[in-house]
Amino acid sequence: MNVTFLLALLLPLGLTHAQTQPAQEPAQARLSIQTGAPVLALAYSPDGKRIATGGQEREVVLWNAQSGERIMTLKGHTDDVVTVQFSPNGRFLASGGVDNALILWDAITGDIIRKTTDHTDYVRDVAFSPDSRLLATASWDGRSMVWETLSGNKVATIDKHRDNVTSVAFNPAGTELLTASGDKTIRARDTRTWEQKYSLLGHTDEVWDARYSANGRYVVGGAWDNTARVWDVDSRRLVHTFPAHVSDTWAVAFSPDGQLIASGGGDHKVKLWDMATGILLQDVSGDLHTGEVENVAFSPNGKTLASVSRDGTLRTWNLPGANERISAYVKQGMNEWTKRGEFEKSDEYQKRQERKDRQFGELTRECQEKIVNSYGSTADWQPFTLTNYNADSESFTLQSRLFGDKLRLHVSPRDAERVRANFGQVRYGTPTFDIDNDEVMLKHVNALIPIDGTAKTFTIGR
Amino acid sequence: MNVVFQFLVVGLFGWLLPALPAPRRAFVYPTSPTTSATFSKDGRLVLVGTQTGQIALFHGRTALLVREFTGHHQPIGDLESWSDRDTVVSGDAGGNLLFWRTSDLTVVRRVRVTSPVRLVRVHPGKPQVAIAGRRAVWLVDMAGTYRKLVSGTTGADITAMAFSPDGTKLAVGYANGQLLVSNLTTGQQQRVRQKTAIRDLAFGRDTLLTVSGNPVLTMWCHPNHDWVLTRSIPTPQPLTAVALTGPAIALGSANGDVILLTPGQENTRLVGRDPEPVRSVRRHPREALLLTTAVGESPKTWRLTE
Repeated sequence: MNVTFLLALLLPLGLTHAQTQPAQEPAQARLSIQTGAPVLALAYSPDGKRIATGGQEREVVLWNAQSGERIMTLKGHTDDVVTVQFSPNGRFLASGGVDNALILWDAITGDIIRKTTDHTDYVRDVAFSPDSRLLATASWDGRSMVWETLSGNKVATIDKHRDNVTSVAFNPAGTELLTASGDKTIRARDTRTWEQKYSLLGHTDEVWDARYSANGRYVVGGAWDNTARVWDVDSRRLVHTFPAHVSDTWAVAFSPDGQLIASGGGDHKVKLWDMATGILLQDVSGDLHTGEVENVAFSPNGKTLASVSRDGTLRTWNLPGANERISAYVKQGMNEWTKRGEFEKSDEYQKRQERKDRQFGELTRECQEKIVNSYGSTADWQPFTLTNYNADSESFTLQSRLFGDKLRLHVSPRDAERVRANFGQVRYGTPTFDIDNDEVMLKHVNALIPIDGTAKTFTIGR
Repeated sequence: MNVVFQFLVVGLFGWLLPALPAPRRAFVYPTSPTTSATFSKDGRLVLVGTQTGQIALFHGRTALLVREFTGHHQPIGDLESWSDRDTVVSGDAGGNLLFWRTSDLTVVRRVRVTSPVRLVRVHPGKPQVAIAGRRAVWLVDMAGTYRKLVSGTTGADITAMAFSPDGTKLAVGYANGQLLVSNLTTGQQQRVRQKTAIRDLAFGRDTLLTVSGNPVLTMWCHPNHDWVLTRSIPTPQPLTAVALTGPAIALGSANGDVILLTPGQENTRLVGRDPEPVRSVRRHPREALLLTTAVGESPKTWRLTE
């Protein structure tokens, strides 16, 4: 009877556990640095070579992202450093702290350019505009402020939240400023007027972090209701509610291609969620973090995830490729196929094997489709720069942040110079993607480029 | 078959049961057991006293340990926030009472009494603090001058103490069930006695609430002059701690339950569950949060709103 009672108690726990089980094993840690004090702030430099952290040592520390070597220690805060960000142009570093200070640093020399103490409570988050011209803060004094980065002139003070402001972010176009708050809302403002454009509702407790996807189409919020929620910005529709953690969600981030969301929680976990399939892809950290995970950040090339924790560590993790995402989806979707002990040549056994193989194939195709079909809406795939023209293959090599130099723009020699001259006015058709060598790649898209006053269609492919 | 059926039925029942309330935050101090806890005056910090004498300052909302005050060298008996935003009064087992600032951990004043400090209660309106030793109570002001208000005439140990909201009265509870209410304006003292040891007490505007380790909340009033027992409200669990939270009463129980009781309403509401008996319950000065301490457990905050 005792055993029955115990089993009965454990049954619901087991069911709950099964529903939130990741399909993949914890990731391999690349770097693991014990700093000696809780680490609260984290950012990658735009070139991905450096990682900045801040925490209860009251310093901003710059690390070599590959080797883990401490490059520089920036002293200037008089209390815990809770946020740090590089400017997109790589010139500046901004940090905020419990001392109510915002410090703008020279990211190369480590010199303090300016220290601002306009906030009356701690500066919880900072964000640069995409052109690095503006710098915004979120503070527990309930206000968000925006400064011109270079001059230090304050251009806006926003105090419309009903509670502390916990997070701030510019959209990639620089037209919106996103703020999240303890009042459970996420709000977006027009950066010309600083008037509210819309609010994103759904979180049922204090929102602690909010970020745009790299193409600005989605916003992810992490809150003390233990969830990470994703909205479509245009429709304001909630598209995913991830049961991210068994305790508060402290940090969220989109991968550079918008296909993955990382979350860090009060349950000491770093988790990875798949935007294309909506599943928990991986419990990244397993049991390696032993304190609350305060922040997560993807490397700019999307190959690595970094996390910092109150346990004093900075860790970086390898990220799963497309094949691992597919196998995670298949693993979650597959029924339990167990050997029942039949003779392997029996008809029943053969039929079951066929059904199993069929389901495996269906799930694999289904996941591939979900990934390639969603890629165009999550990834900022369009920015290309023209490099060399190869007359033999009659194509330009295209350089891209997401696809490297693997793509070609096919142009006949007689159009080559005019295409080069007018490439800045290119418009794109509907892209198609596929999975190649564990990565999602652009398969084909038409590029409409004005030639002699009319838009001429060229193709981009591999 | 029967076993499987039971397994499924009970399992399903467990699945449908509402989840127990989870603490909003747990304030874990890794190196020493905790003895007492309180909010800072503005509610931003949770101050936790320990057996080794350190006082840990946690950020209340995030439970991040932000500072440690090391002015005491003996177990912390109790601590409370002073009426300004920054000052804390803490007392230890060596009879040391320290007034210190949370911003820079500077000690502003030191006072020594002749007994281990068990309870510290800050006057709601004056720069004054009541200190309970084992059997005596002193009133201490910010200048460090103090006078004995209650001496050990009852022959029993002091177990609870509270100022009335207007600061005109101080109630002291004893292990022998005695309740002593001192009028701080006239100097008069009134005594009543209940059968069991007083575990905790709290003042309402016109009432005095006591709990004694029994499943009952006792309410005292003074309609004319004397305090009389006016009501006994039965509760689901033996009670060990009490605090007023606006119209409702927060109660801590011997089995660890933290209960909210609204007088006039039949039902109590469970807002938290500690694994050990609750020693104290305190209300956040601004937010709908309770702070509890329990024997051998880290202090925790619990949400009052559902």
